[in-house]
Amino acid sequence: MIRRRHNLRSARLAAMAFAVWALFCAGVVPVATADADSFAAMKISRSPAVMEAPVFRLKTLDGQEIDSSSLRGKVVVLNFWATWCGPCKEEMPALERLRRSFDQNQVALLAVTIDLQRAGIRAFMKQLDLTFPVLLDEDRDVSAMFLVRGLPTTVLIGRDGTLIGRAVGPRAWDSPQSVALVKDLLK
Amino acid sequence: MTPYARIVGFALTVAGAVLAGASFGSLEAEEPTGKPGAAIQLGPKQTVEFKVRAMTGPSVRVDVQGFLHATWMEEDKDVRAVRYAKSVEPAGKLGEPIRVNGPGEAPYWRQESPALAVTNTEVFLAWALTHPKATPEKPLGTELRLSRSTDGGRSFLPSIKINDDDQVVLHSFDALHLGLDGMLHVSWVDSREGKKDPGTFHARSTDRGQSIGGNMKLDENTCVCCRTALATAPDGTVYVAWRKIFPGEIRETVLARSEDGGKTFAESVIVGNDRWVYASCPHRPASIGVDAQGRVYVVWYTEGADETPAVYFTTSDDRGRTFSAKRMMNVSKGTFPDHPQMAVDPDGRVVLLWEELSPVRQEIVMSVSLDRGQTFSRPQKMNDKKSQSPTVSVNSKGLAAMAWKEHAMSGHRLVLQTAQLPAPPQVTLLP
Repeated sequence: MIRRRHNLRSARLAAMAFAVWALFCAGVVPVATADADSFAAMKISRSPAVMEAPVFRLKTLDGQEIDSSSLRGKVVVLNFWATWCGPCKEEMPALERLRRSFDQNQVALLAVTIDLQRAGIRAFMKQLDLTFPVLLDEDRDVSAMFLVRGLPTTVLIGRDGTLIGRAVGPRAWDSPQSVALVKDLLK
Repeated sequence: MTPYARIVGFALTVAGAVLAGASFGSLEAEEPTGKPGAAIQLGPKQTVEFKVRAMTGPSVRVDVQGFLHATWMEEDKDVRAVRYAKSVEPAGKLGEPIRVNGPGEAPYWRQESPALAVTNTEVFLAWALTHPKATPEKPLGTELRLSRSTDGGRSFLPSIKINDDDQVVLHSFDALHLGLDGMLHVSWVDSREGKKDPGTFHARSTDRGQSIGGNMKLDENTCVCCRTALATAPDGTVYVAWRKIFPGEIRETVLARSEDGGKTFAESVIVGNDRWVYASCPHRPASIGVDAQGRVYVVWYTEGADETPAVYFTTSDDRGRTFSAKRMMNVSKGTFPDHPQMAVDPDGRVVLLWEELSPVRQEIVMSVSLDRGQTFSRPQKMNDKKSQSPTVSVNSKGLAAMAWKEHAMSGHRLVLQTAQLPAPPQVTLLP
């Protein structure tokens, strides 16, 4: 009986977390913080509650394994994309410029793709001089963990590992508003 | 009610269900209501494990004799291959997979299976090839290829090119369908015109896949990453569905028909009028079917004006000119529905599969109609472990074949299951 109650409680907590997560993923959570202007300007939905970002391990194009828990202490910009996604490719140079605006010890920009067209990805990255790592989400697991429903989707994770916000669709990541937003997250 | 209020309502419904102790995702089997007492006979699950680095979900077809045909793309040791396997007996176990692409052909990986069409003796596969003329400046182009077998899937002839241009651009997200008249139809998304958004193209083969005719653009402003869908009616009417971008980044599923066997197509018609504003790639196709009486069935994913993920179903009895009121098929309040797929047999028996997702769950559910889409069974959970990419086919005898991809610790699993549908309800004609 105790075990059943425990299971039920766990299920309810998990489901409650899902409800909060669903709101977050729906991208409609109202903004109510000091940096609200930056979020509103970038049309980024904020996480409605303090929630830990899912922890994952993925390999880069070069075979290096990245453990997201090792990024604790940095602001993480997690961009989900694919080579067939036009809007994704359009925003990539802006993401690169955002990355170059910050110390890489403070801000980590990672691109996650379900695409396995490695040679094409390498050529594309080289062609546009994109230097951030591309992580291969071969089985869509990480995309599913973050409930990515469209590409591009960009998730912001705070230095303490909590979910901050989410943008669905391309953004001007090199805009003053975007830079200000990331600076705010570093405070 | 504003979209925001609707979404909040959606979330409150979820939260309310949580507090009420609802069991999320526990989708119980229920018989279709089309014929009281009718039972669907599920076959045993067949799990095939592949020790490969990666594989796409499968495409599956069941031929009129009940043989199962499956195709997928896999990668191991940096080599990609298009694979095909056929069951050794009707509704039986899959035989040894064979490689379809030629030695010099490198398939393009876009997380979707090859398109598949079969008869008793022929197998047709459409798939994207990394463009042979790809350069460092244009690394992402694809060619669309057609492979065919004339010996029941034991071997495949060298592939032929489907797109009739040589541009190093995207030709992909294809659908393939063999009509009752023997005409092979292909539709796909094509960027050859160099516009911001690609177009939807169609071609046909009048010689059972030996050659492909000229390519025809059906429309512009196609969503770049949503696969097209194809079906034909017994009278030869051809239907193509895709997701179209309208001004304001509105994404609508549209359907175009050809009443001359694919020579020309009428202007596309919006199916659900969802008003979904989405400035990105949904990567979710519609699925269509036609029964013996010519009723057109459409199922699709949208988030609509209120940005709520949903799977909708509708039918058309006037060759896709107008559609019945759309019906939401997903009922679970604790998960997001996704990636619907549908098969329709000549009697109008409909099998729907889709995913139900949460951050920790990936389930496949099935819903069946025996009465031409009037009523559906409650969604029934089909998978045992985390699964994705469902696919379904049904033959003229009501034998459905379902398949999906399952995660395994060290490899990947393809799961197949058959379902024998009960006879459709008898209709008594009044004098």
